[in-house]
Amino acid sequence: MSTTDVAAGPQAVVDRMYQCFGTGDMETLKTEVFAPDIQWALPGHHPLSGVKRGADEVIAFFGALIQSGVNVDNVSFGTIGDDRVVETHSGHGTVEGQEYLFPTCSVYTIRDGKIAHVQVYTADQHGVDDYFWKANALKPIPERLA
Amino acid sequence: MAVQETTAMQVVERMYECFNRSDLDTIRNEVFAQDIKWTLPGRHPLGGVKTGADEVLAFFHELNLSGVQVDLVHIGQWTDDTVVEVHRGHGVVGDAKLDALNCTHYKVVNGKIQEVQVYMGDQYGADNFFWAVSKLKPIQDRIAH
Repeated sequence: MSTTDVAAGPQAVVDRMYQCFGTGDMETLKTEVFAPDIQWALPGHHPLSGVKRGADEVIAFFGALIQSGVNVDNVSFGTIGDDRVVETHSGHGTVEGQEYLFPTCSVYTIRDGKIAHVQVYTADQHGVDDYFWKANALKPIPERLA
Repeated sequence: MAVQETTAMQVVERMYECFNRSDLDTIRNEVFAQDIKWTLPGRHPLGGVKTGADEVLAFFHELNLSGVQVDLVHIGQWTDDTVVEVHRGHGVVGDAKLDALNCTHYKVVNGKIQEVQVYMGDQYGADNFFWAVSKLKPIQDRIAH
């Protein structure tokens, strides 16, 4: 494995994730981009917060984000070491007539050429919590509970 | 009117009596209005508005599972149709600890509990506690569409 390959590797994996989301290719995401035991941690106290485990839940999470009306722009990337990609983006959404802006940072950890772990960091947690409670309803009790 | 005042208080007292002897059928059929709304504020898995007797009873079942104890501090008639109660909710599950006073307003309509609003003494404490003890299903199974 050359130094160049290692440096390009992690970023290429995250780029591929974005390509798959762009084309709706969930099968490739599941089998080639996400590690089977991927964990995706979204901080907060709201219906979509917490740790998502496994490719199926992560993909369902993205479906729920889209359903929630969140758009993302202003995406930029950098790398830390040879296994981590740092992304910053601006999330936007409007709910109940109020516009929200979510400056967000995500750190992807790549293992064996796949995304193994993602930790999201939020700049306005209370705003995020507010938005997602307005944009999503949980099922009644007890159906919502594990 | 004295008769009405007695009635609202009696209805809430009956709810407590029924809970104490686990008589949930009587609560469902005779104490709660069919379209009862029970609002527990908070951003956590048990927070929000519960609608209908079945969901309110399911909510109480989850509270029991979480090991929360409720000690009544004070209860009294406030207006003709409303009873006010102060209770201490407390519990410990692992590192998570709950211990705060809450205030509950019960509105009684036609002899049944129609609307309940809880007011929290420590909202952030309750949020942290219930996130620690009540787990949501995975995303695909928890969201109502």
